[in-house]
Amino acid sequence: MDKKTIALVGNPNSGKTTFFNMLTGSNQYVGNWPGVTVEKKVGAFTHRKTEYDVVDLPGTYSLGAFSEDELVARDYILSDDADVIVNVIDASNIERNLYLTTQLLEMGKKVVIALNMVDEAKRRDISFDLDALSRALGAPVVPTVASKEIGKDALIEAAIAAIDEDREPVNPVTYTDAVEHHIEHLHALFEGRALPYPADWTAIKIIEGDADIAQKLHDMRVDEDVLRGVDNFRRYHSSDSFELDVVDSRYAFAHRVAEQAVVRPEQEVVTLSDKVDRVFTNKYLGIPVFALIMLVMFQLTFAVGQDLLGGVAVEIIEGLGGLIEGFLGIIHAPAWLISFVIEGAVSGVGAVIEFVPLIAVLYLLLGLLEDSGYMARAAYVWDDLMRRFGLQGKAFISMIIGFGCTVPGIMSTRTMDNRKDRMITLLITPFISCGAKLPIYLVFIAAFFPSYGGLVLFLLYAFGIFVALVMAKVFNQTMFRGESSYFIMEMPPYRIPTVKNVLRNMWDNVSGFIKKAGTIIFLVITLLWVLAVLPTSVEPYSEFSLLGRIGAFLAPIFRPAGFGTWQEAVALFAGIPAKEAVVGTLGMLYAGQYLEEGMILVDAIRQHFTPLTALSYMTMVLLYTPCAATLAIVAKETKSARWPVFMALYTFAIGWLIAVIVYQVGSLFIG
Amino acid sequence: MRSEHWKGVCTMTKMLTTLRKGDGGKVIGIDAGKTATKRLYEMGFNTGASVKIIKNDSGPVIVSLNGNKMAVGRGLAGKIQLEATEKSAGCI
Repeated sequence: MDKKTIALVGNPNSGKTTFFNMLTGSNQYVGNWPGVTVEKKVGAFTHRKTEYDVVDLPGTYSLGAFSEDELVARDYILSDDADVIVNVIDASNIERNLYLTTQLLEMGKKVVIALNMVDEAKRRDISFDLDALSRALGAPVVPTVASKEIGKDALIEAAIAAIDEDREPVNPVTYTDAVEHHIEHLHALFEGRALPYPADWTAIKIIEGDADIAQKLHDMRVDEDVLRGVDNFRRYHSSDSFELDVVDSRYAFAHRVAEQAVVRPEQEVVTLSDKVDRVFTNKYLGIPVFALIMLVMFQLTFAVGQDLLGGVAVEIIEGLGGLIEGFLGIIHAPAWLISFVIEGAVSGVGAVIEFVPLIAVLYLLLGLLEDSGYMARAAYVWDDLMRRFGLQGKAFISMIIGFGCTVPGIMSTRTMDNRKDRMITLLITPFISCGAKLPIYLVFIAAFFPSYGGLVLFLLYAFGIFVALVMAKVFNQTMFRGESSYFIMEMPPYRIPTVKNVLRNMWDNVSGFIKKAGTIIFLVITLLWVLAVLPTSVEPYSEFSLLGRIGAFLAPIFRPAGFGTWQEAVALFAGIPAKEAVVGTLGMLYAGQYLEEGMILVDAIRQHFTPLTALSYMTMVLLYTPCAATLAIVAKETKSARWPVFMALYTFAIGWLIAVIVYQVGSLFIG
Repeated sequence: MRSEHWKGVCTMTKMLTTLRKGDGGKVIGIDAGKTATKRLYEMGFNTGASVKIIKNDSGPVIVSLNGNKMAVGRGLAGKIQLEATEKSAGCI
């Protein structure tokens, strides 16, 4: 018997991710780690000795052709790869969630409803007649609380039962007379012809004016008569009002179901969430509260990740380095191997690994923020200000996600409703400093500003946001002039983050960071090491080595910014494959130079930089060309090779320019 | 624009942005672009949907839609037409 697949479909904020984690536990094939684009997550679980696959589709409000996310979800459902669809519904938000359900029913799919977060609904005094709900929808309904693993077994049983069941799902929606008339007409046209999709659903999509489906019918070369009929309809009979009529009909059905099966209190219960919102979304307090949350986040990252745990990581790396060195000595390994391992691998890759605790804390805090529902508030309070820069509030969510990693930050622009907002946000997100750049700042902060770590970090991040906003304004006035923009966003209630979600998110990111250190960064460091010790006739790590000469060739570019030695230039370029390699490269190059004198990286940096050049170098790192993974995702999201090239060049130019300004203006004061 | 009076409650056609906290009404039309209108419809601002204002001072307007909060940018909110039901004060 082949393995059965369950697909999860639901609105954003319906608790779908928690649901996925509940079903699959730790059994996921694909982590969502930076650098790998995951459109749908896949996992598995075993029930009564049978294994089932679970596919988590992107959260969407609809299954039209509105956004990339909707298309991904819709195409997967249409592919028939799933044996049953579990539709996760937010119990407190029945109507809008049922809007999506009606579309699944229209598609004629086997659906099982997970009525999720019933505990929250209960707190708001909302109760359900489950039988009535199930009857109205023609689908089994199971109440669940995914965060507490309530209803898991019942849901799994219902899904498995539905897979084996033979019942044909019926579309329960009644459309307006005109729409019904056209459905009938198109249905007659489709009669007896091979169609790639269910006939009634195809008819509804054509009536809705769905260009994607019309195009797909053409691409799949369905029957000539069908194509002609569809094109005729689109040309002569279609009307914009049909599209809205269909939405109205679906909502009318959702309201009817809610009336039959949901009991709501006369007066809405004022929840704690509402009270918190009075402060967090307050006209005057909103932005200060946001700034405070960010400042606390960076201070905590520092306090826990660096001061508390950072030392441990350093000791482990150094201890390990000592052990390996001792071992290599005992087996009489050749000198070049010892040099490679100690100066290259341990100093280079080790310099990156030392920051694992810090990265872990940052992702933990970001995860908490994301899970709590605060992101929507941040978007809300920033919308007004963002608008002045030609952006909308949602762009701010992408920017906050970008604090962790630019790649998901850029992917999150998919939730934006129009091209202009999306493109501008995508172009400015690299200025938002990501987790991988953190180690670079930290060694410089440790060298020059040890007492003001959190503050310097906060200011760097704030400056990144500032540059991003200014560039948004510039793009808005130039390349994307006059295109329209609008903002609609759900404000989900605050929720206590689930430990499992937050830890999972943290682990995915941290393991991604470690994997990168072991692969890309190791390769970059190895390559640079080879270049640094060749040719054998010259002093290794000197400016006469191959790497030294390449660096010396590039270095003059950066002289106006104050850091014109070859090591710093090489490190910047080494950071383009992955940002962590900047620290790794400096670690290796300085280790080769100073290790015998017993200096550590921070000391070496003090030798090579002044507080001012440290600032200009950090500014350059903050702003210059993003990593290869970012450029790759930009190519993918924009479906173009030009945008990533543009991004690589313009960010480099901006970074260089501002680093030069920092250094030159700073020099005037310091002399 | 005033249409009807009874028992101290009157209704009138208003734009979402002109309503104040606590006011409510039913959506009767949206005068925005095609995609924005469709999106508003799909998010629940379809014909006849009842809306209550939670917050309308600066920034986007926050409304309650079937008991759930939605934020709508001011520009777009100004294009949502409601049949407003208000307390009689300004009506008689």
